[in-house]
Amino acid sequence: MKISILAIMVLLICTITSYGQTTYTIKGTTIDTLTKAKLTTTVTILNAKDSILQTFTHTGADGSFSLPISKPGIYLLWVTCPDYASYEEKFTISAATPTHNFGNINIQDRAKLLQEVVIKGEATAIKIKGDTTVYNARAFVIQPNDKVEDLLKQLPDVQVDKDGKITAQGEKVPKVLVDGEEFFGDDPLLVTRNLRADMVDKVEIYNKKSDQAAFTGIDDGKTTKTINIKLREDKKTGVFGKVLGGLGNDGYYDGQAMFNKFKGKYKLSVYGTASNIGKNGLGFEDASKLGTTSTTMVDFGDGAVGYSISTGDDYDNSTYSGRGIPHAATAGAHYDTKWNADKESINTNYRISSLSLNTTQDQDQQANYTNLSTHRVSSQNTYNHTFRQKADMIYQNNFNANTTLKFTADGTIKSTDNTLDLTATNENLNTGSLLSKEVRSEKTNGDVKLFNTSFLFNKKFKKDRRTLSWNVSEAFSQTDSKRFLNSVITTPAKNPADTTLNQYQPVHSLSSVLNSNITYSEPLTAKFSAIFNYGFGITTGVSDRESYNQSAPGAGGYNIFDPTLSNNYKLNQLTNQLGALFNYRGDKTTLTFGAKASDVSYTQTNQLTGNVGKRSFINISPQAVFRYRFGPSTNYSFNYSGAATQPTIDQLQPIQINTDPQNISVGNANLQPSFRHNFSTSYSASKTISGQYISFRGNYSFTTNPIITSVTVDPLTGIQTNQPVNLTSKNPYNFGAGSSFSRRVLGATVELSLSASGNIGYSYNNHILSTNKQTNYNATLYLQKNEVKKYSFSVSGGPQYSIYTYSVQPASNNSPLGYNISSSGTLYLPGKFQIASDIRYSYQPPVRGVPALTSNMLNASINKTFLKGDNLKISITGNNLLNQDQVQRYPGLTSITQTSYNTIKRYFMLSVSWDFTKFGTTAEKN
Amino acid sequence: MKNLIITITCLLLTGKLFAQQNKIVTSGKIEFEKRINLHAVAKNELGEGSFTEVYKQILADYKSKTPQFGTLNSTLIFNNNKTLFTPLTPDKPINNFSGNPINKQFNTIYTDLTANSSVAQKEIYGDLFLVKDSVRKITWRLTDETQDVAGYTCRRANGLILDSVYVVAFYTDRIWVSGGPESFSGLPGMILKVALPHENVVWTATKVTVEDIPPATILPPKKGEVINNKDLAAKLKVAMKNWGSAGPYEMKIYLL
Repeated sequence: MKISILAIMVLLICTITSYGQTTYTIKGTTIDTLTKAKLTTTVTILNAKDSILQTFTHTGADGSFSLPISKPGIYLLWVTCPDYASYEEKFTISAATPTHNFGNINIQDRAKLLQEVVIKGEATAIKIKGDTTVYNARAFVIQPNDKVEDLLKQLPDVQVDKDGKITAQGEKVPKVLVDGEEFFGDDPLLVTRNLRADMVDKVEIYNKKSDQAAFTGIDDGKTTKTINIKLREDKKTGVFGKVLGGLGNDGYYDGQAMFNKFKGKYKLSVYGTASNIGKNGLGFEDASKLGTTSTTMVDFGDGAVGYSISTGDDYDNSTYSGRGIPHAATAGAHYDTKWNADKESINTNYRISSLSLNTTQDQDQQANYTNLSTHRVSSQNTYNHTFRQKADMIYQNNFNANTTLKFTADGTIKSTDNTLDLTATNENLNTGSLLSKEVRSEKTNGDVKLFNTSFLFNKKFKKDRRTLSWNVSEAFSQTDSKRFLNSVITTPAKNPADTTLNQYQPVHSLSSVLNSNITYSEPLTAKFSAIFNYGFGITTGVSDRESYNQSAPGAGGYNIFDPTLSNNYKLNQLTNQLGALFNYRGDKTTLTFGAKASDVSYTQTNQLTGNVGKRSFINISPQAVFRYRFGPSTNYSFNYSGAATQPTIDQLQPIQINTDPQNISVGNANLQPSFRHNFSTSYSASKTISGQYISFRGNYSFTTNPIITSVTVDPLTGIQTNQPVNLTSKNPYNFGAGSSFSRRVLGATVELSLSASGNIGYSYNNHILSTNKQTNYNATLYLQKNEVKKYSFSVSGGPQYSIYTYSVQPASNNSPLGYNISSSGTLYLPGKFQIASDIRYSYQPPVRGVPALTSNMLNASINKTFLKGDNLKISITGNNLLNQDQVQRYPGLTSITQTSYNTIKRYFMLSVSWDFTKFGTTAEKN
Repeated sequence: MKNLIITITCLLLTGKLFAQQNKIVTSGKIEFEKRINLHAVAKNELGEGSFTEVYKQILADYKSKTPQFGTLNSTLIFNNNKTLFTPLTPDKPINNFSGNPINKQFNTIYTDLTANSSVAQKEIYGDLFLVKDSVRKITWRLTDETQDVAGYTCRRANGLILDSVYVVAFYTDRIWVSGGPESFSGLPGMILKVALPHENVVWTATKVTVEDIPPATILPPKKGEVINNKDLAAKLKVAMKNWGSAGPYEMKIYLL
């Protein structure tokens, strides 16, 4: 018997403690006070001073325990037994008394009956909403470091006893919530970040069976007095902004100012920019800082959501293409405000901008036809200026988490001013004889008015996955432009050789697009749901293009209407769309499939001739997506989509526009729709922590009954006539495949990407069917390493090999091998200095007599920051240090084109920018 | 008379548990619900970034589209001093902002309290780790506060883990197993509720089933790269060093 008890005790000691050797021990036996029976209990030893748990054990069947104590001290023995009152006793262990025997411990009642002292407080000015009493925290005196308990004590009808127990309106409050979340209170011995009373906005006291129950979501049942402490939001009051000014050699400049003020629920921002170094508007970083951005929730699947941030306007902030010399000046204002407990908000923006671009472009083009090879050289100067004003407004009402309404409206007024001067010669590549020569000048002024409005209603029903969404939008646009065209085209093979045009061409167009779409989703089973949609659209439009000649050359007024180069169309289109999608979502498998059918009918009336073109058709677009999740970051997907492409109105009956008399478009009233099938698949697996990533992707698509271009060329004049035709015998296709592998090596990310892509297309070249094949192979190696606030460095580059073959013009076949490399780096130096540089280099070999193309761009900058928070920054920037022009090459079906543009040349700029902030946390007044 | 008062007091204290009087539980299954204040954790993840204008916009939009609370379920089976915590796949995923790990359940944890050892399988951004280490040592302070959880009277204890994460746990001495959900343990009874008040998350037992769990079913997870807590922390630090304020935050959550 003794042995077995000892064995149990040893076991218990081993079980509970891992303290190792000890010479201090306590023991005792717990018994029921009433029956004197031995009790199995939990024996817990705490530090008497701070209640920190030291050790614990359970008594054996005989009620006895023996427990080692790790070090001398003053402890609290605490015996608990479910259904019994607990027993506690202070004891001391010291070198003098290494053991303590409690003997028999009678568990006695030490339960203190809580004396609920209910003191009726004096009713003061408090708000009563339904059965909720709301106290405004600001109405009470709060010391900066007061705890929430100190605030609660001040509220009439609320008592807090010394143990922190709360009584409100005469009832015990079992739970205190903070912003709807259970409040536990901090343990000052463990953490000091206590909830301070001055962070409190309101205190609500209500019976839990109110409407608020859904919001708080506690499942206690019945009515429980609940205190919900609503915290004040981090609504700082303050201003911040930025001023930037930069001056460079050769007249380069850059300036920016922005200012933002927010107070409580409203925010106002204004900004202005002016520059000729390719900056247009605030840029992404500053726009996000100012909040003039627009954000959209993106669903990554499996619940993961993120946000895409856009600068809010596609015109401002448009990136400089590297072509021409820009001058941009923009200004804007933003205002937003919220009310009704932040459920309703209005967000408005106004933007004004003036943007001009001077472009000089020299183009060299070689084209090969079965009967002719041409070489066209052109040079043109263009000036484009746009002055624009735009105002937009978003009103949002989140009635509750399940019902939202969004209304947006925007309006734009834009005037444009464009000029073009062009000279071009087109020669027979083989003989060098002149085919045509062109001198053209155009001057166009336009006025554009745009107005868009949309309304979006979303509702989620109580049943999971049952949702309704309704979107209505209207887009209206009106364009009025006036063009003066002067051109002389000399074609030696024609008689007379010269074609002279001197015309005034006014254009008036109107378009209105109204769309409505209702989407409803319904769960069919736990994993299966259906999504139905019905869409409806009405498009009406007018396009009136007129051409007038002078009564006699140099006569001044343009008063002779030219019906051959004028047209006036009216369009009415009606669309009805029905769609059904089915979705299965399993643990690892997701499958979506379905189709949409659109019934489109339109009427195009030629208002000059009275001809009416009518067409109606039904488009069916099937789609299917299969996804399989091997693991949290290992996914496979397969997609199919099919879509019919209807011939466009321009393909059926093109509108004659005589901007380019060397290229003539001819319509084809017999065109039939084509149908394209797309297949794509991908696999990716990532291990972020180990720094490994691998992905494969592939895609294939083919088109049945494609619409291809039939090109016929007059060998004497070089005039090219294009007509769309259906090809029934062949299906053009394209494919792509790629893979990426990434690893972290010595703290650097190394990524290798390999890809191949190609397509087979068809065209008629002087009525002979030509098969045009293109295949590209690409390999890129990317290396990146950075250390926060020390350095960042990246380099990437690789070869690209392409093969072009043309069945009817084998002379045009070519297979260039080019490569590119780019690198950028930033180094943080002591004394808050930072240097950065980036370089891009690319090479394309000569093909078909077009010379090799190399392009390189080198930029560098050095900057130093000052003040606390690095708010002042002085930088010296060197742009385009190698003083290069922009040259680009476009391989086409029958041609290869190389174009060089003027661009922002080498300059050095000194700029200073200052970020200023002034924040305060003041109590907002409602 | 005095005895009668004690008896009555005992009855009052135990209330509906009367039927189970003095029945000590050493084996069974506990269903836990993890409840997260999604609005608050979205802000935690952004850290200081949550003060910039664009993130204020994002937070406001996220709050309008997401219920304030999200729940996830898990089970804990135990027999004497062995426990196994297993997350359940949710029927409906939580609208998880920035992939915040607190909104996921990435731990499967086997704990052998006798051997003072635990095996935690952690899925972290595609990497599967098998963290073999001793049972986490938590300094607990016991308090007088009690709360009823899943029909068991629980006593509150406050603790601190990972040097800075404040833990509030409620344990019952009716279940004689010193375990709990996730890696929370070390109290004189089973933890039936545990909150990380500053991380805005609470695990609460919704159902306790007293049954004899065959010890053979309480097995440690096997798959994953074997590592200990210290090495894992070092590894996460390297991988997350360029994540801005999200780095230290996510690291803390993954080490819970």
